[in-house]
Amino acid sequence: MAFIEGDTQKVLKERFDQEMDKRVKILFFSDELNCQYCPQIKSLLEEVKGYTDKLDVEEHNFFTQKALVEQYKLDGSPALVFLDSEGKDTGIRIYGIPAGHEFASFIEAICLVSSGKTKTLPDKVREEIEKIDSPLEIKVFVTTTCPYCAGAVITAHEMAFVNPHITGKMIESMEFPEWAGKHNVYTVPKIIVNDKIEFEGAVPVKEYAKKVIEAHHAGEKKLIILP
Amino acid sequence: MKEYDVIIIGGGPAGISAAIYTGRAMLSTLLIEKAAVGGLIASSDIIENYPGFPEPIQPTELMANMEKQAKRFNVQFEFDTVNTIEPVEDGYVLKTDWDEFHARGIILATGSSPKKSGVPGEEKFLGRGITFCATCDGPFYKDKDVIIVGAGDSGVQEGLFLLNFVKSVTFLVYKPVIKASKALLQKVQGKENVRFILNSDLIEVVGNERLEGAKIRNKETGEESVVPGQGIFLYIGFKPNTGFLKGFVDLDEKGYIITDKRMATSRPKVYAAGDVTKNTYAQVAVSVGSGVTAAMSLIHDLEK
Repeated sequence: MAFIEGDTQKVLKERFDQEMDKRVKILFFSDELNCQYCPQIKSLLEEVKGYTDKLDVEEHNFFTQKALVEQYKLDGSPALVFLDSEGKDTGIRIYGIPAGHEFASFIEAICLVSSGKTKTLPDKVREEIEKIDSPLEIKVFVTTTCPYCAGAVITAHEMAFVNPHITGKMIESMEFPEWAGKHNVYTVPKIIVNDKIEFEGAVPVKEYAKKVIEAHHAGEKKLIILP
Repeated sequence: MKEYDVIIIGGGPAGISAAIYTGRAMLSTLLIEKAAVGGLIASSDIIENYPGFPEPIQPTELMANMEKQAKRFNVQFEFDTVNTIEPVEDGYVLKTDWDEFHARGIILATGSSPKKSGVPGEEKFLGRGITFCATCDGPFYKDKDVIIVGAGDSGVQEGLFLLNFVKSVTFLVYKPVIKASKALLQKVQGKENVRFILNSDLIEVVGNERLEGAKIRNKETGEESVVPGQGIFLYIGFKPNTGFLKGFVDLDEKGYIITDKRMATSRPKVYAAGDVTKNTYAQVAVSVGSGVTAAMSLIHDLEK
């Protein structure tokens, strides 16, 4: 069965034609033994590839390709890693199937990497995010039926794209129940920054950025002045 | 300070509909939304009563189309929270978390938010078993027993969605009758894994580490019992998002904005529309209508 049907086919073709500029490469790390959705992810990637000649997809085995897994610091599979036209890691990660409402964040990620244009970050926010100068990880736990989650994922991906220190991860909660359990995820979107600051729900992008910046500073030693 | 003819607060159906009209009337229009475009309806599973769409549509799709339409008429979107509105000689100054704007006229379409129950145990389990968004969190309750408090249209609609995942749904209704429309009820009644408990109040959310159920009290007999369940979905009504508007426009005793038939508030060139207004039905079609009325009224004022 095709994932992309009806009007979506036309919309997708138009969007790729209008928005894609440079080539994008997606590395798909699969696990043939324990991965329920890997066959669907593979078909989805193949289908999406059919709508543009600027997308490359490379499949790797999560368990045997240890060097690559280490290079991209992957901690689970299925995982998608987005590389730009020069092969540089953009920090954009998708863990699990980007189906349902997450199809939107997946397509946005392709357009973002190809066009280099962010859509949700206002200039002031972008400037602040660009100043982050040490590794920072944004996990966004989602379900594919959640209407508010894609927005939170797109923001994390854009932050990763504008700053090489940042990794933005979409995590499909049902496929990673251990991670969801570890982080007490019962409601989505749940956003966790550097495992220090967490927040839930649809929050304005500026509020989101404040929390990210706060998490970045949380590790710094502060001078405490006693009264 | 950035200047606009019209500033609309709220990006749900009422706000975006108003924006389409003011934008198309060539008035420079800014829409300020605090979270995500779409409003409360975006969290719903499907809409099947919005005219012009014979098949059920996804609210997110409908709202994305409305947004696209507004952008075609050059409406600007800003994601920020409005904290204060001050009247000045030639309009109003709006202060947000990050910015300051001036508008000649304003449309308030801030909508409403789901109400909490206020019972013991609720705060402990909010976001840990108690949720307001079935489409977001439904998958976490796969093969589990869940309780939906409230059986109005939104409660039953989301119950239908949850039945895709859960083992059973118990509707807890505080009235002796069910409020939801017959069309919706028909779809859930008679299902083996659906039951309705009428005339009962939720009095406590029980559980230690995890949520274990809802303690209820029958309103007639006073009898108390515990309905077992691992998730509670609250659809017990809404409260208007008007905290920052107290003292700025007249509100009723529940906090809803009082308007006339033109959707005018107590302030000149300030209109209101959608679920935030008094005496309305929380329906997309109604919000679209009141948004358009507010816009037409404001356009008339500004063209004088």
